Amino acid sequence: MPKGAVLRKFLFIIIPAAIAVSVIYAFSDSRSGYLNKNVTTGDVTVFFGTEISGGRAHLWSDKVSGVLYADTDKSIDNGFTKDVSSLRFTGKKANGLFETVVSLPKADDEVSETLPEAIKESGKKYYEMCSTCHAAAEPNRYAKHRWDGILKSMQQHGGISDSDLSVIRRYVILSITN
Amino acid sequence: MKNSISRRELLRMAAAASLFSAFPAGQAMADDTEQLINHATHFGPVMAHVKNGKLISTEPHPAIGADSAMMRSLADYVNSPNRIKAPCVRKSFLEGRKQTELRGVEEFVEVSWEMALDLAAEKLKEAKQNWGNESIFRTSFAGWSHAGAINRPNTLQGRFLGLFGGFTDTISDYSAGASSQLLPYVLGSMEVYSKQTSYEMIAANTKTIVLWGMDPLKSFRIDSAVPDFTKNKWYRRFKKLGIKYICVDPVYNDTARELGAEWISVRPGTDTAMILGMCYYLYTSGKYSKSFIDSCTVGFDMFLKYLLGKDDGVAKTPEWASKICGIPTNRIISLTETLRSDTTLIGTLYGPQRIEHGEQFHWSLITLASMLGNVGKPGSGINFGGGLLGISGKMPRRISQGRNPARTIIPASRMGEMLMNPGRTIDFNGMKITYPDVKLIYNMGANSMTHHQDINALLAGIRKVETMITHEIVWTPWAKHSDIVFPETTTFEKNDIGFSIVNNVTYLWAMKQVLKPMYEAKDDYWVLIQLAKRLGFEHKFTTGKTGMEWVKWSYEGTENKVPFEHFWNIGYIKLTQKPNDKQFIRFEDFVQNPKSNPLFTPSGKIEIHSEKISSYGYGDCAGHPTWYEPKEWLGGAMAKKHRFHLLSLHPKNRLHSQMDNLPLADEYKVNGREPVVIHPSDAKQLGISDGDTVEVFNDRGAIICGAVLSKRVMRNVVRVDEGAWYAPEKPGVPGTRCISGNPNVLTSDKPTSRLAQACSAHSCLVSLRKLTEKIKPNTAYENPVIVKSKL
Repeated sequence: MPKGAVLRKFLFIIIPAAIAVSVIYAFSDSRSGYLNKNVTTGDVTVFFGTEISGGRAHLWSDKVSGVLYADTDKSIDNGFTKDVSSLRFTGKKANGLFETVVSLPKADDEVSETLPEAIKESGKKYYEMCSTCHAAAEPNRYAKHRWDGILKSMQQHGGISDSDLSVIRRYVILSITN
Repeated sequence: MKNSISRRELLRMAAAASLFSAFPAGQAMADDTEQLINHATHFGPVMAHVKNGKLISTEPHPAIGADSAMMRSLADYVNSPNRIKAPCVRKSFLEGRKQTELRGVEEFVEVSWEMALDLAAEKLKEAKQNWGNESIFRTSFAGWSHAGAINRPNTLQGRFLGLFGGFTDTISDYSAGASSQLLPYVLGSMEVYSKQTSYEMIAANTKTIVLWGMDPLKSFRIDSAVPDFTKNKWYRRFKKLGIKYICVDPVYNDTARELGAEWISVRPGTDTAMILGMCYYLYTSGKYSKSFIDSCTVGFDMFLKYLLGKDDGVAKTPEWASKICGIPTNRIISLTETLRSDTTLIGTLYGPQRIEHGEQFHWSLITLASMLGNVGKPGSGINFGGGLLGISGKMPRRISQGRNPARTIIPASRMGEMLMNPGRTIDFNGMKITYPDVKLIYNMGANSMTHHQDINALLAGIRKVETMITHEIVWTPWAKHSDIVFPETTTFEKNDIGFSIVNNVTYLWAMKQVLKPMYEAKDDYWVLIQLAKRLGFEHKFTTGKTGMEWVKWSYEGTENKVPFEHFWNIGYIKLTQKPNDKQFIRFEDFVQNPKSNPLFTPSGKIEIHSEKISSYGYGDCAGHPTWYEPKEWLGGAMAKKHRFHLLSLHPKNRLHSQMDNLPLADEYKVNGREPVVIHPSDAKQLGISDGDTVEVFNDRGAIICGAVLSKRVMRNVVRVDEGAWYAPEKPGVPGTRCISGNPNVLTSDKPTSRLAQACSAHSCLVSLRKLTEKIKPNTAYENPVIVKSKL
């Protein structure tokens, strides 16, 4: 084989491979972590605080309600879809839920390396809105179901809108570590 | 005293108000003609008469059509001879000697603002550096000293100390500490502060209201916001509509008397036993609602074992209950029959739960209401707290405290115990809490020497504290026991925004500054800015806003279409109640469909038995409503030594200790001291006559009161209202008598239980004796000696 042909063949293989590797590297490196804002793609919205890996969120659906749970214990909603039929399922199934994978469009500023970093802004909202009459309780002080009752009753006291309450609730629940 | 305003007068005042409102407050301060200025307080909204920059008098605001002696005493409040005129420092403290035993004894030195601020900043830094931020404790938790949205001392202080790195804070409160910790397990919310069935629905459906330890016409004369007296009007309207009242209380209270209630005089602290007897009757007679229990509750079987005596061999029969609570068995049964009607509403506030094992009161009442099956119906069921804070819709914004990095907390009523026992670990609501070693107490907008139980123990506790900083308007007992005292402006000396609430916001009030700060007094906000400047976080504290900019920011949070300037000019805005609010029925959704509208309890239902509470294994708070014999009650062994049960109820003509020092107090004080109300038969046995000077005492201390004889208290029960300023007979001597009659010298700081660790002030036994010897006049309202200085 002529020398030039070998070189062309080498370049033909190596250059695309190098590009592919660098793209994959860049893509995967920047796309693992936690969403720091709600991200909508097609019919699906994935909520802030959701862990993503390789640009994809692994969620669980009952194939009926449109709610996308973080796990099969339904510990927290991590997303919602208007069209369940548009979801791609992995085949995994547990507790009546089906695993689905949602690919998210690239946006580096939507991903934080750690969960505390990802929910920092919502934390500000919590401490801003929930410490006007009394001190804001640390999230670990109460269990999740207790927080639901507290937040619901405090929504009235604090005049908190539904959308703000949703952000605050998510911050509190995601912050519970024990 | 004038009790009502004529329509003509109302119109005149309204016209004058609107005329004046076009003028800026600053102009009124300089004007020698009398001006009327709009303001609002915890006692109600008022029109302030100002002349030559001085507050002459106050009148109830014409918009609300209600009156009270307190609303007309606010000029006395502002012009009180007890006003703190300049920054002061306790003499020994200023000289670098702690000598904490001299607090409340020695003189103060008047110093410049610069010096007082420098010293306070230095002491804050010292505490932080030497002992950590958790060594700083704030006493201001509730916000009862200022009705505005912006200048609330507790929030300003929380914000300031949070930015400083944190502080030891309190959780829960003195008012409803037991119930607010328990009820989330049982009903999924604190309930006592939740929105309740609307007054409109009660008016349309209820035939009988049971006032269970509740005196609404007194309690609703003040408000954590600005009272508009709607609630008081409703209770009077119910009477006109023919609704019958029953008062279950050791005291035939003011509401009961005015509304002609039937009185069922229950022995103090025994309500739970009485309720259990009623539950037993319902069950054994087959008259309980099995369908409600099955569909809306969990744990009834566990409770039933206890009720029937399967566990302890004691059936909680009406006869058993009668022996404890003192109410005849047939009356317990007939009241239960009345409650079976679905037109009977059980209303209660917080007093009956401020006892040992106070958690059991609301829990047993909910169980009774569940067995009656009346929860969630329009005219019946339970009504806890009168919907004190039930709000929906847009309120004025309030300044946030932000995050407290120190995270150390103690239950609100544990201050004395904490000070005496640093390092002690206690149970609290499923957690363990370890008391910090407090070295600095920062007090704003509170007078703990009045509302805290067992004052002698508290006095011993504060002697261990290195520094006590206080912002105060007048020389309260707490201010007198402080080291650094900053003179604070009254509400009338600053601008703010207030609001009234009844299920929703009913009024927005322009709390206009009506006079310049008196003497050298400054706003809390200003003082904290000066300290923040010295400590390096001024901008974070203010975000660049002036006080008036915060007020405007607050108003904009309401999203009202009226521009701020116009609102400020007209003085107030009345808001229309939403139709939905008028039709609201507490728990209606849940009862109609418990599966779709579950409560936020672990089971989603009313938890008559709580697995969670049971799992804590507390011997003083089991998993279901239980009668625990208190240490101090009339049926116990201690009653042989101290035969009277003391009730320290909230006063009618003050807000805790606020206004105790005013001429208004002359209307009810006896020989210048707090009254002790005694049943005439008891008084006769002790040889006490109306107006006699009486010592009330127990093992914790003694107070001097003036006797008032009345059949409106039960036999063996005495009443000394909370709020009299503490005045030691021998200042500085531990255990000395209080010659002013402050009942919290006598009350116990024992907690309700390991669950809530709440205040149990109403579990208190005392003895009485008539005094014939000469007693020192009440010194509570004397200012400390103040030495002028050039510092």
